[in-house]
Amino acid sequence: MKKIITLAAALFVFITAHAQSSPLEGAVSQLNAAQTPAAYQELANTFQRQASADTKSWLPLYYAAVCNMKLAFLQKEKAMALSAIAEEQIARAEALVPAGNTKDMAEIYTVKSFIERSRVEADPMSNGRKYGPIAGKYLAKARQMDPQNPRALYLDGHIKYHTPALWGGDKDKAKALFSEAMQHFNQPPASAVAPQWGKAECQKML
Amino acid sequence: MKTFCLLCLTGLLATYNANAQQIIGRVTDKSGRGLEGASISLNGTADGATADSTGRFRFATTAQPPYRLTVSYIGYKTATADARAGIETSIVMGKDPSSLQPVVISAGAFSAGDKNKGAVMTAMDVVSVAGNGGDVANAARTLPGAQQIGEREGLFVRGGAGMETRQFVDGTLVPSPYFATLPGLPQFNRISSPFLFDGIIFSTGGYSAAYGQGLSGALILETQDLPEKSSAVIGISPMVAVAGVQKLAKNGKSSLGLSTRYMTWQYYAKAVPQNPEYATGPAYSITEANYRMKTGKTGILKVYANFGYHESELYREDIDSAALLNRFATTDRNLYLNISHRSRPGEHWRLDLGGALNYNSADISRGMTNIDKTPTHPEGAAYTGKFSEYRGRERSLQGKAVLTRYLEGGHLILAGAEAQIGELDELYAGFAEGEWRLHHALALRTGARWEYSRLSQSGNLAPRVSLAVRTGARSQINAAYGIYYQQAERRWRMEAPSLPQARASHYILNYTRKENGRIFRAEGFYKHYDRLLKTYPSTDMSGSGYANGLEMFWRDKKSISNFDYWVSYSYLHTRRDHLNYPVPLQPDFASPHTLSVVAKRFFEKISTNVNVSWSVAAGRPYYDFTANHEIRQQGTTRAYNVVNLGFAHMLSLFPKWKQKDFTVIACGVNNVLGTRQVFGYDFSYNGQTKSPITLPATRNYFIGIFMSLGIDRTEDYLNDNL
Repeated sequence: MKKIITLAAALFVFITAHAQSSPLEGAVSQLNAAQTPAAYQELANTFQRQASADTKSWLPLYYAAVCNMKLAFLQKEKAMALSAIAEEQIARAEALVPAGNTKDMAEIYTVKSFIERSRVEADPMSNGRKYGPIAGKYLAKARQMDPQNPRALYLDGHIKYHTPALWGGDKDKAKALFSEAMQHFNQPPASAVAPQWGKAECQKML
Repeated sequence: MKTFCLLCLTGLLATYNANAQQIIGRVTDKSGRGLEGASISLNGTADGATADSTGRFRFATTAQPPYRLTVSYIGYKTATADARAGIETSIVMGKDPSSLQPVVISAGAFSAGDKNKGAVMTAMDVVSVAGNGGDVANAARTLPGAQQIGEREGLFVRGGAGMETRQFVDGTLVPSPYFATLPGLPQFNRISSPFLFDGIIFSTGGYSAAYGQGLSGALILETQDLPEKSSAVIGISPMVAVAGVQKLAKNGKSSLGLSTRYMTWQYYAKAVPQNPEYATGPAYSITEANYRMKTGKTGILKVYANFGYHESELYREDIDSAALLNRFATTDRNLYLNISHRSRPGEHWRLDLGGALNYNSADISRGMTNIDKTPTHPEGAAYTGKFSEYRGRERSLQGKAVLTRYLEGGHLILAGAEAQIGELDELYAGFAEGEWRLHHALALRTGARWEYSRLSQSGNLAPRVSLAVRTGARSQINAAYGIYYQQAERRWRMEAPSLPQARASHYILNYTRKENGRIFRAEGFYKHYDRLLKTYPSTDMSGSGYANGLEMFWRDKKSISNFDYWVSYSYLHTRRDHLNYPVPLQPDFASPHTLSVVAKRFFEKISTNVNVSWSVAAGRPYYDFTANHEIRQQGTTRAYNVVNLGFAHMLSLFPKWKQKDFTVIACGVNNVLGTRQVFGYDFSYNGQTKSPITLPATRNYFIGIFMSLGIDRTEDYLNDNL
């Protein structure tokens, strides 16, 4: 008898918990641990599905764009197609960000800049001149809207790190930016679903 | 109680089970291969899954049937399928043709620059090909189809003479892009700075009906639009001094640019002796101005002016007498003004208007002197042809209008008209062309051009057809056919006003494969000339000829990081009966085999770009004709073999300045190995001595420093070399 009650209670808890725990939260925590293209692809699909079920919130679309952007960096041969998808998703996310919310807009612009950068890195020879300046423009906008955004700081460092010294690249400056980004990454995120990705990559650079 | 609890439990389980249905299935392509990463979503819910490495998926849903799945995967058409719980659903996805790059009609053409989809080279490539002197036309010589001609200017394409490849700027013909021809030396192209242009197409045949008057090829250049910011450039070397500014208006709607170059070989010739002796120059002054302005929402107006001045005085040992010298002196000036306007008068329309004005003046004097350079007039038939005074003034005016209509489905049609008004003749042309995307893997371009010459009172119709078929995601086959006309040079038309136009037909078949920074291109062609200018026994168009060949091009910038190279090979078989040829002959500018290798490596640590170009060509034929046009001697020159080396070191001299400078120190050596190059021979009047036509000096050296402010060429170098 006791067993049955326990079982029933457990099952009840399981079912309700399953029903209540936000799927977005789950996916975001999976994103924090993702590393392989397969994992990012799966998450991109998950976020995209969540976005089609919830057409009012900017976060699922934002995260779908993040995943496709990450894939564009990881799979250079498909980068142009992936970045096109990411670009379309981030544009839709941008339209859903409540007006006047500069912190969230900074997140959007950071991802926009990352997307352009993924195009540059896919084929620097044919894309660099076209997309490099756009990436720079978006990043500057993001940095201006939220100087403390750790992902924007990380991208700034990434670009400085990979550009030769002569042309404004600076490994020391890059390191300073990574450290600064790390300080902000170490702050707990505003919520379980607030943008929080990028910490592991930044850590790796230091 | 126990029963109640059990009932509860069963009920709970029942509801859970009732809500949770398992959806299973597999996503494959048409060949049955699983599509890993495909996204499956259940319509109307956030439920779904991602296909695993075998294409299989499984997920639970609490939604009620019917179930409709949407499946998407990059590069494939989104598919939908009905599913039933617990039963495997098979989804087969088809490739999405729109995810493939559109087929590009590209038979015969090499394009460079951002504007061109089929780009093979960039402006920076052009600059960094060793030994080309920053000249677009020279850089094109390392591409297949062009001959390695070292003793005169022009692009000699597929058995065609240099005059048969014409240059176009923003749609209109540049009647004479070169300064006055110097004997035995290549001349400088006035309108060829790669930084002026962001679209460069080198066509070795089969080009569009929008262009005419080039029997063999076309170098189609498109000037840049508004610059992104103001900039200035200065440069100095023992041969060249350059200064230029480009000012962008505060509102970003217009820009004004001015640049001037002065070049002289005087000082260089003192340090490195040249043959012929450079008594004056060759010295050049080129001043360019441009104005660009946005008009309305979509329009852009561009004005480009180029004023050039050149003087040279050369002395060369006379071939008929060791005690005499040949003197050649020229002073020439030219003004070229190009005005173009481009706009989108409607969503699906584009209008291009262009006009150009050209003025050339040349004063050329040929004569003989004693060794001390005092003029002399030796007696004898051998010397009579060695004197001439030429004073040429030539004005021409052109206008061109092209209207393009973009149609649904990627088709387009264009129609245009053109007038070329010279002092002697007026040429009117009308053309129309359609580009048809018949299928996602098939594009067809059909066009025709009609030209009417007022002087000869005759018209010609030139049909042009070009086809592109995609054979794979990265490869395509192109074919082109066209008839091309070109008027004889003015002096022949003055002699024979009713001279019809020369005529050639091109047949081209091409295979191109592009993948991950590698390009392979093979092109076979047949060109038939059924009218060519004859100057002996009479001036008429009774000449004829043909050329066929096979060309290969390979470029790879991916295999080795920071290393980029290309290889081009051209096989050419040609015969022609033209000018004073007594019988059809292999022309003296046609080599059967030409191989060019260009390699560039960027050393990031020392910010230095090293580039090497190597060209070899089988020997060219040479002929000695007697006064009554019989072949007295003929033969083949030794093979041409040249290695050019160039270095460019990039740095910032004043990194603390607000507008950090970008400085390049460039140096180079042409013909590093000091190989003796023989392009042909000059023959004495009696045919008993011949003297080789060769380089003015064994090696040619270059050093210079160029500094730009405000504009960052960094991106260009970086992107070309990363």
